[in-house]
Amino acid sequence: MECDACGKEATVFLTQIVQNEMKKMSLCEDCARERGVADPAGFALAKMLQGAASQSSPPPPPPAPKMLREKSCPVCGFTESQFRKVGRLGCAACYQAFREEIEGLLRPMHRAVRHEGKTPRGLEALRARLAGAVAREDYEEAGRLRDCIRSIEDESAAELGPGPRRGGESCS
Amino acid sequence: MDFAELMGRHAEWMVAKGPSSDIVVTSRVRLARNLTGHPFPGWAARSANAESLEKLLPAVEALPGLSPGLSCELAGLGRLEKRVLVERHLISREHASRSVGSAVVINASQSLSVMVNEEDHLRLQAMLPGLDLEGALQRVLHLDEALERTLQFAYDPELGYLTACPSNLGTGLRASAMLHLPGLMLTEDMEKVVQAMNQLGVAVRGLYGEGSDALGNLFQVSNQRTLGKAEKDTVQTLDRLVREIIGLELLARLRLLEEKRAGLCNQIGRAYGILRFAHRISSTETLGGLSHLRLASDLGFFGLDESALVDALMMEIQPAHVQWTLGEKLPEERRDEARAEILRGRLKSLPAPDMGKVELQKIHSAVSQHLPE
Repeated sequence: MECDACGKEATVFLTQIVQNEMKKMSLCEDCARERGVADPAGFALAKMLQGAASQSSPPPPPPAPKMLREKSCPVCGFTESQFRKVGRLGCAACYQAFREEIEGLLRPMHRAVRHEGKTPRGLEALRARLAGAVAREDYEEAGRLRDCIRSIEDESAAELGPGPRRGGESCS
Repeated sequence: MDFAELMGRHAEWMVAKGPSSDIVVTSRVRLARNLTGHPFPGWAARSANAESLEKLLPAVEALPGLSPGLSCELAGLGRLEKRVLVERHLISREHASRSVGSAVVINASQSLSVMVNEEDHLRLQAMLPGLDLEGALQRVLHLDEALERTLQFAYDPELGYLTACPSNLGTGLRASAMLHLPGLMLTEDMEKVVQAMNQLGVAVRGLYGEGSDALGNLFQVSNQRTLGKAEKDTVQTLDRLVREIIGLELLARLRLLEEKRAGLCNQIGRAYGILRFAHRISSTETLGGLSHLRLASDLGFFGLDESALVDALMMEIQPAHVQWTLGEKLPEERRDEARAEILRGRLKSLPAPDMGKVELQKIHSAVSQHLPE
């Protein structure tokens, strides 16, 4: 089969639903790459079909470079287009990587953008928060957390009993 | 405890009564939690899920309140067994489709369950009879606090607990009450209630959650938002709204008794006849009939409170339960015959409903308790 754009042998075949109609398209590797077909999010067949229909017009301009350099999570490799497709994220660090995109979703979804409620109270969590506070040079917070950790450590050394620990309550 | 032993027993909520048990079958609260430094289960490679499971499972099994119970990896359960757990609301349909790298831990009374590596690393659930959302919240928070001592959960000061889906972000809390609302269905007022609830940020779904039908006039009412509202406030708001729905349901029952009594009695009598004497019956028809029997019990038609029998039957007659009880996978027609046999046996000693036994005054005062004006 020939490439719909340049007539060379086609190796990429596309099917998409555009306005309730199934559209098919055949492209050679060069034309496919030129149109950013490798990137499913940035690609819309409807646009290309318009381009292929007007035979005399020059080929469509190359896609904007940002389409090819898609945003992805530096920790787990999850991409923005995957997020748009499945609506879920790859790992906790994705919330930093896609912060802008997610913040736009939060208000319509929750009618709020800031957490209210429980904070981790366990020693592990407090130690992690202490490290974070030290890293961003928030010494006031770091001092408070250090006191909390000490009070929990002293308390558990003293009682060593089961049941929920009450000493951490002021450490939220 | 193995699977057969656990499922051979009734769950606590199926036999015990709680506040407003005449309308609220169960109260459930679940928390979503994830580990730091591990990709979420849906995106993680199989080996990564095996790794997180190795860390999570011993911590969950050691939780106070979860032993002696059942702990098993999903790879070790058959399809039918997983569907039984779904029917009991102990795992989600999504979790049932998982296998290697996922697990479930359930306590003996089936009031606490933990899904490991579902959409999130941990889903902690508490399920209690009647309207007791606050009690269910306390139980999951207790599990959460115990786990926090050994595990480090993904948390952000701005966004709260981080979850695979942003719709659970913040508290990771989903509170839901399972309500039996035959009155509002018969008076055709349910649609209005659903719309009002949706506007208040509360979802109303069928028996098995998203996309499921309102089989047996059972509805799950749950909070939709998890960010920006503390756990306690979320639960209190839902509790208040559930109480309002209870008032409306009681009012609808009163109206039916006063204005459409013959029609109501006709439906209850027919349901009793069919369930007691049928030789082949589908689960949908059975759930509809059991809903009428539960209503008859609530209205006092049986003299005694028979709602526990009805609630237990609502589980026992479901497709996977029927097949699991018989120990084999059956074609639909045989399943319907087996279901009818279970019903005939269990309802044998249930007396015919006596519509004269209704105590209108009792319902009147219950309505005024819930709807002050």
